[in-house]
Amino acid sequence: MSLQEKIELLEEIMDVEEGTLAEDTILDEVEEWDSLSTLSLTVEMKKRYELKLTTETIKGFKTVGDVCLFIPD
Amino acid sequence: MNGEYSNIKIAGVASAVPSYVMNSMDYLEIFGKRRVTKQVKMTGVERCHKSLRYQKTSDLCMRAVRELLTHMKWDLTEIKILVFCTQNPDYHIPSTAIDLADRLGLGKDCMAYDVCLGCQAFDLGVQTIAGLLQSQPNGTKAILLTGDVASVLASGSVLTKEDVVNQLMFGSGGAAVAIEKEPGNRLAFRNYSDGNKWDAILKYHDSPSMMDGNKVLDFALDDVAENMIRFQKEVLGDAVDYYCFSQAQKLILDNIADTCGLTEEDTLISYDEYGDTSGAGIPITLCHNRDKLARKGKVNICSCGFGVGLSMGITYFEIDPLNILPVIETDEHFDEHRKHVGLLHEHAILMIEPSNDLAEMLVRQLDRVGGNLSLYGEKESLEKLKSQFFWKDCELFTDSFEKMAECTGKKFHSVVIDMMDNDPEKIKKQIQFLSDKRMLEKSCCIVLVTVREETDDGLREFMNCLADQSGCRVNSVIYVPESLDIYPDIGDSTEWLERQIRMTENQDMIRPFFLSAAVNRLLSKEFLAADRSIIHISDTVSQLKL
Repeated sequence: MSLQEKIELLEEIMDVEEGTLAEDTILDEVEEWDSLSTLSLTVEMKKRYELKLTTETIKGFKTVGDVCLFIPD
Repeated sequence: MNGEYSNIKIAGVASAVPSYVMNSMDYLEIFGKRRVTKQVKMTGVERCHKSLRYQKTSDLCMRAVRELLTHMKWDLTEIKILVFCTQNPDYHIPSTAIDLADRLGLGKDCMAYDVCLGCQAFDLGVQTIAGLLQSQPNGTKAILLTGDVASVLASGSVLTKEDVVNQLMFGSGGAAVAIEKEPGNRLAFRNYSDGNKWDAILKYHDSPSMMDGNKVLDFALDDVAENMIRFQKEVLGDAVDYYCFSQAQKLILDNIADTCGLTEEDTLISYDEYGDTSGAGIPITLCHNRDKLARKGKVNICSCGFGVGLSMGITYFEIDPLNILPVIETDEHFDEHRKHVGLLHEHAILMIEPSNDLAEMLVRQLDRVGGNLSLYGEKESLEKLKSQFFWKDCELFTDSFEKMAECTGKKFHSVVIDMMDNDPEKIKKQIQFLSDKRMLEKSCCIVLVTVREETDDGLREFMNCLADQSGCRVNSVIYVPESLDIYPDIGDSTEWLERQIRMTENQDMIRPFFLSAAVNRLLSKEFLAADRSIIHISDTVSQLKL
């Protein structure tokens, strides 16, 4: 998955308009980055990549870019 | 543990929920359209039922079991086991089940005890009872009670918006399952328990519960699904009519079903109407779908409860839908076994002239923590207050202060005085009177609740004067009126809840809490040494972002 595709996936998960998120967007400043989004992301990671996403890892994400780094290419 | 019995019959199921409905979509404006819509879509919970202030899990279970026993026409003397599987028993000790067995009229030879389990209560409860029944003759009967009340937002709780919006997913429920030893009834089961995830859902005695959603999700998608797949292969074959999971939300259940190759038609749900009802989830789901089940005659059910632990159980059984009762709604609550315990156990408190919202709120809090109240003031307003209390033994004195001395036999541990609308000279006279009549305990604490002035000097002088007069400890709580909005509590928590949630500032839920917490603490044994202390409730609490 390219960086752009990853960002689009996040926009879909967070239910925000296309183009809202950028690599350097700070997650704390996005209202839609809440427990519902992180849960959806966890399910996606499991379904697509059999990847486990823990609460600790999620807490470590500061920017959209951090999440994109976690998502496998 | 896996296993199978050939002589355990799930004879009947009944369940009860409270009548007050919390509709998720009613909170669109309060929590934001985006959040609520998304939450409803993901969790599938459109509404849930919440218990009002005094209802306990046992109240719901007792209603369910009474209706079930009437329906089953069971002879009470044949019931030899009663297990109450809940995270919210009435007492820490004894096991509530023992009290309930007595209240139901079961024999003294009936074994009764509590088990602490959450969403897996039905499965593990059934399996526990199945094992116990093996030693008994055919025809022996047992009752399993399961359920939990959903976190009731009682006034006096510290809440944030996030807390409240999460509460949209959980509902109160109580259920009863009738189980009988009868040959020719197959019951198969499997359990899985992972204590490594002990802190995924965690609650210590004196703190709120905490959940790591990701750990739970992980367990559900991996361990629960895997165990179900194994059970399907090893035990089930094609013989299942319906699967019934504990009612964790739609996102989780859909994913488990997907992994196990189950479709929507294969699975029964009730979370749309009742939310997550913990250990009562599986029984409530059966009851909620009983008309659908009744079309088939006897049905084969595979239930799967998973949760706090983290642990899970799977049970396979046949049941006659005619013995599955429709969901019952009730707000009943049994109060006869409540005693005056709490922070202010057996503490005689005199409240002088509670004539405004703040004083009324304080007095309600004191009632809630078990205080033994005496109120002195104006007749009509005191009677109105008393009608809202839980403890009906509150004394009212509406004549003169002298008359009160004649009527009450009490010596007071505390006197709480709201200085708003009260004349300091009058108070001095009243305290002197109480002291002269020896109506104050040696360790008595007088608590003044008052508005902040420019300096505390005047207040200190007043406190010293009262202390000298009475020989009592005197302490004060000071607040800033503008940052302490009080919202009158009206009877039960429904209107309170709606009024509280309608506010946009979440700290409105916490400001009155801090004041009453301060008063309660000053009256408690922990503060027996406190004298001439002043607690300022900071007005910066209005800027707190929780």
